[in-house]
Amino acid sequence: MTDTSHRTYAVVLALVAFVIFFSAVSLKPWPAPPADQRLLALQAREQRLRVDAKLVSSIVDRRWATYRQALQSRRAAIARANTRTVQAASAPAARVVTLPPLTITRTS
Amino acid sequence: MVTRSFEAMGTEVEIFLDASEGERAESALDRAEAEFERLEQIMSRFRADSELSQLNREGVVEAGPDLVRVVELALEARESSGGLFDPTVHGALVAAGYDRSFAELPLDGPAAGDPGACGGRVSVEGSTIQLESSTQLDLGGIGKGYTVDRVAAVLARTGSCLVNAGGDLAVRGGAWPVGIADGLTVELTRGAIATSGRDRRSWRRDGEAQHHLIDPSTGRPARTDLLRVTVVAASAVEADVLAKIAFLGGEVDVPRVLVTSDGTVVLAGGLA
Repeated sequence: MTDTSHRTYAVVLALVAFVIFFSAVSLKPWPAPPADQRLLALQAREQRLRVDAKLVSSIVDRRWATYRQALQSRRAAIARANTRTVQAASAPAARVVTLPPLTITRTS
Repeated sequence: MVTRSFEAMGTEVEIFLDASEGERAESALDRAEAEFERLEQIMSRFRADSELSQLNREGVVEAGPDLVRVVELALEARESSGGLFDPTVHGALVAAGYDRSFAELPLDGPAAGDPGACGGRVSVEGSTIQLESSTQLDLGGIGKGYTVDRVAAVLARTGSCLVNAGGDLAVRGGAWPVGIADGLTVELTRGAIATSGRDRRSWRRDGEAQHHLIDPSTGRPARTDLLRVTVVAASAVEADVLAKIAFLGGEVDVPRVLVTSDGTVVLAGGLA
């Protein structure tokens, strides 16, 4: 009987001691290991590169838009010039002269 | 310079070709004359066996590419002129008395009939041309312009040329002095000229003057102070259409010469 009680007390004490120990450990966890400086440097560099890439991309987009607009204007100018050339080539050309006529046009 | 004159499409055709006399030039002129005959056989409303007569008779025809093209050009002109130019004036022309070739037409006769309505529906799908009931086509002027353009293109392979089909004329290359009105000559170096008026192809019915330029809005020969209008344009088709539109009072923006009933000659559209 006495042995049983002693064993029970011992188990309870062991449990209480474990809970106290665990609580103490939980209240003050181990400090994080110091970060790797090379990793930090890489991360910072990655961030900078991302920002730079975004900047370059926006600059390229802006320049591409400007180029496309200029290209469109240029193509329109070329089309207008071609149309003028075609019209000039096919436009009728007539002027009043004092020559005797080779033939006459009359009501057909 | 080689020349040839012959009768075709109810008028006198003159061809001037800037080439040396010889077999090549003669062959080109033969081809030109044959082209006039070929296209007249397709587009004449006075030949019962033409494609156009078949269309007018049956209301539908499987046409060759030339008739299809001319009908398309005529419909485009009707659309762009708001109906001032209209190929569906056949019934009105017949009602006015122009029911046979002009050479056979009596200069006077009984009163003109009821012209009926112009502006009937015409559809072109592929090579099929179909007319609305009681609609018939006259392609006299525009068909002649088309032929002149075609023949000028054919002759241009041989040399500079002028093709004149009774007033619808076109040039390719060279500089050609063309008489337009008394004492007025125009040098044409590119394009075409056409004249429309009531000073020729006119007749009487019951004593009333008739002519071949029908006003589609009334179905009767147009009443106007203008005697004739001559127009310079890029092609003979365009010139023919614009000359008719100008004669009927429409706005055109091309070099033109207008002659009024009292003989006044007016130059317009930058012609100088």
